[in-house]
Amino acid sequence: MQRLLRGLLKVVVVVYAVLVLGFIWLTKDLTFATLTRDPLFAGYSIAVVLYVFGRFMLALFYRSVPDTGHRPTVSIVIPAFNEEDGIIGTIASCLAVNYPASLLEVIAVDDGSTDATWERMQEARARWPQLHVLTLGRNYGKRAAMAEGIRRARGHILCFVDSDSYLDADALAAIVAPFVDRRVGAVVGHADVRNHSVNWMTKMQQVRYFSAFRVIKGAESLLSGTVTCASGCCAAYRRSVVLPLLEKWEFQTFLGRPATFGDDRALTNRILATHRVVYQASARAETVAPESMRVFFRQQLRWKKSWLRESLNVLRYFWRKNPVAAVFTYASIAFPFMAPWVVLHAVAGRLLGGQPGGLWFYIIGTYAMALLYSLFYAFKRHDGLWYHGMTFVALYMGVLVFQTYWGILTMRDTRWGTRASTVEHARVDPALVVALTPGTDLAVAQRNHGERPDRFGTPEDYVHGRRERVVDPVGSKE
Amino acid sequence: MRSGLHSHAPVARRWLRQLVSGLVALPLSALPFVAYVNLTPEGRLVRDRALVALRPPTLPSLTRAELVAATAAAPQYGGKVMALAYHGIGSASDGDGGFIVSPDRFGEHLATLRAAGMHTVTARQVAQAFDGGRPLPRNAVMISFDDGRTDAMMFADPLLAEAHMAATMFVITGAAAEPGIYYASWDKLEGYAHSGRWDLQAHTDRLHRERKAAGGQVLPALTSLEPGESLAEYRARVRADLGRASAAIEDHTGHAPVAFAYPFGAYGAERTNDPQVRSVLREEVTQRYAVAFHQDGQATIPLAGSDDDRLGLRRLEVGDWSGLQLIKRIRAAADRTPGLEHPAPVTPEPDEVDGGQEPAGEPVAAPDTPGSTTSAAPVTTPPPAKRRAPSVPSVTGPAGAPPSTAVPTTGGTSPPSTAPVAGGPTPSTTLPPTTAPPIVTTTTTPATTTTIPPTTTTTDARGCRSHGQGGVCTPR
Repeated sequence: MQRLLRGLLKVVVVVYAVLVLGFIWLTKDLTFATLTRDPLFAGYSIAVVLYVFGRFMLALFYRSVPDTGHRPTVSIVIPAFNEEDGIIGTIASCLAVNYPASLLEVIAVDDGSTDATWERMQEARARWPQLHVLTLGRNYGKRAAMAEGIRRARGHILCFVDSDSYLDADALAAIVAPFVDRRVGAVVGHADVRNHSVNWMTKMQQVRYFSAFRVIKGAESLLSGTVTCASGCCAAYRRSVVLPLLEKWEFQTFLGRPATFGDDRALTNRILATHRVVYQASARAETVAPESMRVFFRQQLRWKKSWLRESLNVLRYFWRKNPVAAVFTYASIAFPFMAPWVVLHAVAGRLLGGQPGGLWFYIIGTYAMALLYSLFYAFKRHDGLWYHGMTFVALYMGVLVFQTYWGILTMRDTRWGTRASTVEHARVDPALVVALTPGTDLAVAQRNHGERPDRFGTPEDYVHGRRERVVDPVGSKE
Repeated sequence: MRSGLHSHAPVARRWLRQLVSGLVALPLSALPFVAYVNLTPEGRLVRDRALVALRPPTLPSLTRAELVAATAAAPQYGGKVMALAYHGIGSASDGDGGFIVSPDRFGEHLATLRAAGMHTVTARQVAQAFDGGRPLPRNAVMISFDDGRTDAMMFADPLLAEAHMAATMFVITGAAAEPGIYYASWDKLEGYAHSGRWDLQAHTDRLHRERKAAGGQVLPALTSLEPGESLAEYRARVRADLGRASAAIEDHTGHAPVAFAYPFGAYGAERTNDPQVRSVLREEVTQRYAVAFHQDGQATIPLAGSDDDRLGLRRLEVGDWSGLQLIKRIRAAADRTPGLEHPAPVTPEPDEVDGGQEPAGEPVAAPDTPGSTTSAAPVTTPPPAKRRAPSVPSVTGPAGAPPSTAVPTTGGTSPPSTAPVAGGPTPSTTLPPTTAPPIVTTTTTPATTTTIPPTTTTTDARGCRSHGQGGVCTPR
């Protein structure tokens, strides 16, 4: 019965999508006819439609890399700042993954939280002695916490999990699968919104996440592995690729200011210059999305700023990548700059009586695109949330498009927005670090504090404090 | 907050709720499209485009009763023409107060005109006939559209093709050069002109607009002075605009326009801010066009003839009438036309003009029309090449066909708009805007022309006829 219903739903969705496509096809003459009169508007419309269709077409051919039993050593790094509520759950979900315990290392890094995060970590450490927890002693910023975790990590694959993210049990086995390919430097999993049932904001973000991952990253992944952002909520990196970039990444500055946010995009960007970054839909994670408008807009602005910053870098090297990917990526950089003008143009055209049909045409065209995204969700997921995708597009067109320029204007404001974090760069002071490595107790750790374990892993990596030679199938091929 | 996927809340109920809300949202999500294609003009255009693509409009087959009624009401005349003005054709009102006729209605009009023995002519044929060229066919009707609107051509063209009829489109050349949603592009217009079904004539280049004129009133740009504009400047503006319009049409169709339709039907008698405008405009129109049309006095429109004021010919604005109502309107126009060559043989019934009942009846069986390519609705579309004797008042064919079969009516095989000019002089002999007489000589003429003589001033200082025959300059 349920299967029949789902089948029926899929048929309805496909027919509906075809009708919407037919509508867009019918409007193409109008768009082309407007080309001479209004080249910006019509050219933008045509380009966006081609862009979106191109993404969809590619995404249809996307397939996850199958799990062939590749099991390298993995270090999961969890940076946390004032996360006393969620940190135990995050750690628990990381430890609960279906992955050989002997090949797994979990490192939780407290970035000088002012709440009880460090205490929670110690409790977790008491419960799971294989855990590696440490506190930096003061607040340095997320990148410093991540970098410290990376330095201590000994797995061949580094996996970052935000303190508000949760890995599915099979996510780790799935996310390491693409690393069989030596060209792959990073893999991003699929993130769903964990709190999607809370309110319309989170429902909207659930649909948005789905299309952002499944359509955009899926298409990018298909084009020679050119995913431009391995989102922090579920991403894995080859440590040998990350280590040479670590110093520059940790102390990245932009416009003379420390680049505090967009750590995931910044790292992806540097890896992408030399390696592939792929999307692995079968590696599922969940992340907690903002539940209030204020927090949501701040998060979006932060993402926009890091996008702006990293796009400058992307411009420089992307033409050397897959040519189709380059076209898509350069277009995706151009559109957000054009979009606000097109919106204003459509509205002003209406108000000033220029092209009376322009506004309605623009709105219905945008709506058609939004509907296609939403129908894509409806086709893939049957949870009745699909129509919230249109809410997102409405919000995007009404407010978020203008963040491109707002982001430029406020570029030098690098405050986090959602958390009161310090923003000045500082090298982690080993004297302040207290680390509980597997096999040590707190008393020993405090006695020894200041002595960091050997910074970088050697071929004889330590895992879980036990001396155990770990053979990385990838490494052995070298 | 963390109640998401891992919550132990009644999962099944939530699943069901979301399924239902999703299913309810599905039809609701189509509402914006429905609103768009019904409430916005361009949306209607999109819908109409789909309708035409899915179900091309076809001529209706008239019932026997309709045929009998149409034939009985049909006027009989020669040497004159009934000029009809259509605006948009579409499936809904365009909202700006203009008449809009549904495609079904327009098809009915064509079928009834055909059945009643009317023959369509183009504006170019009218101009040529009035200038002493080929005479008009009997019961001539000029179907004309204004502005070059996409919707009109989209619906009308297949119907005209099926009926083997031709129409005139008064094109705003400026709009065709920058086509938007409403106006057809030159690409499209050229295609239509090539089909032989459409005669493209002038409707100004960029003066089809209303704006605040000198004196503060909102007036048509063609018939009013701009703030601070002198009469000489006005003349130059109009001359340049009409020149551009003519040049564009000649560029794209190969024939300079010979007919003109006044935008908004305004020719300077009203809706102007200077009494001199009318005569100046008239002189400028005279320079380029043999005939010009407006829509004044709808209640008393007569047939147009060569001895009327050729720059003030009147068109009947066609509304959402039945075919029979249209025929009766034409009949009424014929009845109020003085000096018809061939008075209508049927007693006029002017009172019935609007009250015509359409008796329902069974469709007429297909008559024997060998050679007919349209067997589906043969009654409404007899082959144009097949002429019947004028004395045969048959319901199976065009009653009252022209006595002189040599006169080409609007026929599928010989495009009327192209044939007469094809053998004409080369374009170098046409009168370009720059060779128009200097302002000094023409400004002296208003004294003789303002009283609207029966034959308008059509000669310039060099004795050249400045219009007609594709703009041929023929010294008298």
